[in-house]
Amino acid sequence: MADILFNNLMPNPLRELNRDKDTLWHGKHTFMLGKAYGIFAESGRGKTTALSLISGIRKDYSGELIVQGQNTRKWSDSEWTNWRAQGISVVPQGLRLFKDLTALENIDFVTSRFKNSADINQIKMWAEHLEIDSLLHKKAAILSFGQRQRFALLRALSKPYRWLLLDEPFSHLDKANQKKVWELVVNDVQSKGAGLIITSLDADAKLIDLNMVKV
Amino acid sequence: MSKRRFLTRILISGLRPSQLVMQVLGLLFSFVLLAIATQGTVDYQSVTDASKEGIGEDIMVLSKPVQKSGFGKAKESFFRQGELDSLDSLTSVLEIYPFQRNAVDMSLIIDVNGAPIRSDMFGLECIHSDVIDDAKTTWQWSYSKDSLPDVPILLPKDFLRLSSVLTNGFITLAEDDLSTLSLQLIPRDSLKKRTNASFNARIAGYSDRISAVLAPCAFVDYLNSNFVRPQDVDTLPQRIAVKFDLERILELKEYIQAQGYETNESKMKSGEHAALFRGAFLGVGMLGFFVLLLSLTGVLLTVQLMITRSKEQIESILIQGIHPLAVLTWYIKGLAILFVLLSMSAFAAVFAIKKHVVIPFLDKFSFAVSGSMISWETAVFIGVVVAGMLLVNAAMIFAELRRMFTR
Repeated sequence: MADILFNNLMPNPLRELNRDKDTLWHGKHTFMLGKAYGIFAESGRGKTTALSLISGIRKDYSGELIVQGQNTRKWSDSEWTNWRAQGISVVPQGLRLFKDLTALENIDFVTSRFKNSADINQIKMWAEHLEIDSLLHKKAAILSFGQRQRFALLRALSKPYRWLLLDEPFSHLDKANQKKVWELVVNDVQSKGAGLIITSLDADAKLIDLNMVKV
Repeated sequence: MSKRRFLTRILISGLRPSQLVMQVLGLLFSFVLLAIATQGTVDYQSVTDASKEGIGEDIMVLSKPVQKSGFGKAKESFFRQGELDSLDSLTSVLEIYPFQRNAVDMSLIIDVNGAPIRSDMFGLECIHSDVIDDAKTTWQWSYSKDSLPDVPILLPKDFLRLSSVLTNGFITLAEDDLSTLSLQLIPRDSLKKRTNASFNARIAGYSDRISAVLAPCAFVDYLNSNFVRPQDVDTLPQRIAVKFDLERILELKEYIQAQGYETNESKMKSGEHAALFRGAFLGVGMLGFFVLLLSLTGVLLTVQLMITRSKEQIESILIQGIHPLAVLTWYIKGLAILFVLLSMSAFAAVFAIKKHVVIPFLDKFSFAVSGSMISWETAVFIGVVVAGMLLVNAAMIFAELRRMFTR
């Protein structure tokens, strides 16, 4: 059974822009645990919107969004909170790091609230792998966007999840850093038996070597 | 670091320090106005209660001016029944109490350690016990053949000052001194038969209200029936005590002036002051309630602004899987602590100013207010206001949080 199902799902703003012929926004699309999915399209086609719908941040759509066999239209605040807490982990396009906290505090804020989160040693090891361990105690406000992008990813990997949702996660990374990040992501997703949904403007240029289902 | 401190740092990061300070000061100002309003209401209530109890400035003594006839001989005037009825018909007049006077002048001898002070030429008066503002419980006397009980007398507060004046300052008496000294009342004039009668007396209290020596009516009746010829006993009162409505004192004042009655000007003034201050307190109270509505609106707008400025932070928190109730709880706890601290500070400051500045100032006008910090009614009122503010804010924050995720 699909863990996530788009059944003729159509965001209202995109219908008004006549995007109902785009691949993602008509018919059924299933997302199975243990697989990686890429949503590749140019700007304005609803990549971020798709992740927002799965996160429950947006609810302005027609059709059905089925999660674990349940129509999310009927979910309460608590069910959405539970899904966000245990079901998904997100790296939003804007990253949404708290600028007045240090990089480590940003991660701590999340891990301190959930059981089965990564411990501090694990986080330090990941930070070393991404070559940002010296920045753990720096405030997020002073970091570059590329550095923040990697810390946002560490925050996402640190909490428990069934689905990792990455919204253009390599937009400010060079080829070498993309490779390191991708290794980390794949290892963690596989170790947790989770699924991955990643969005990007261009699959060929940056994700050419990735083995994933193109949606 | 605790989860709560993270949340606090994140949620206040949307505001600049100067904005935070301004909003807290605005809230404090609202609570100061609220405190003034409620303190004014407490005092307004105390004035109203005092009026209901008949204590204080709501009773004045009226007399008719002495008429001179031929060769400067004075003729005393009495209140006729028609005049009393006319006075009683005023809306400002609540009750009229005539004074009953004994027709024999009395001497009061105070034995101060073997040195007697003699005060002559005063008449004893009696009046309804409702007007007695002190010593009501011991205010009785009855004739007995075997042993005459001491006569309780009520002296005007001015008496102590007068005794000092009479002795050229040689003897200065305090209230406590008089209660331990030996006192005697002696009938000395207008006697229908010669007598050596004397009566032991005791000070039952001091009247702030009446400038006469008062004794129980039973004693005055005894004097009139035993030491005065019946034709010398006055049947009409020379003086009356009028219990009046403070708020309508102007009507009474005009009537008194029109009739040419005499009264204690200071009583009249204090009555006017009381009416003035009552109006002022009422004004403060009404202003306070108006400001309260404004401050409630201000608080709501402030919190709304805080949430709007923290919208991105709140969304980011919720995306991480944190329940909206955690955010709501943070706001409510924070506001509750802020409300309690600010309201307590404001009330303490306003009460201190009232106690050390306002009440001493009012005392100059012989105007007594209770000076209590807070009555239970006011405490309940404040509690309801603060709880109401929290509830309204909670509802607003909850609606705002839901709106963020229902677009």
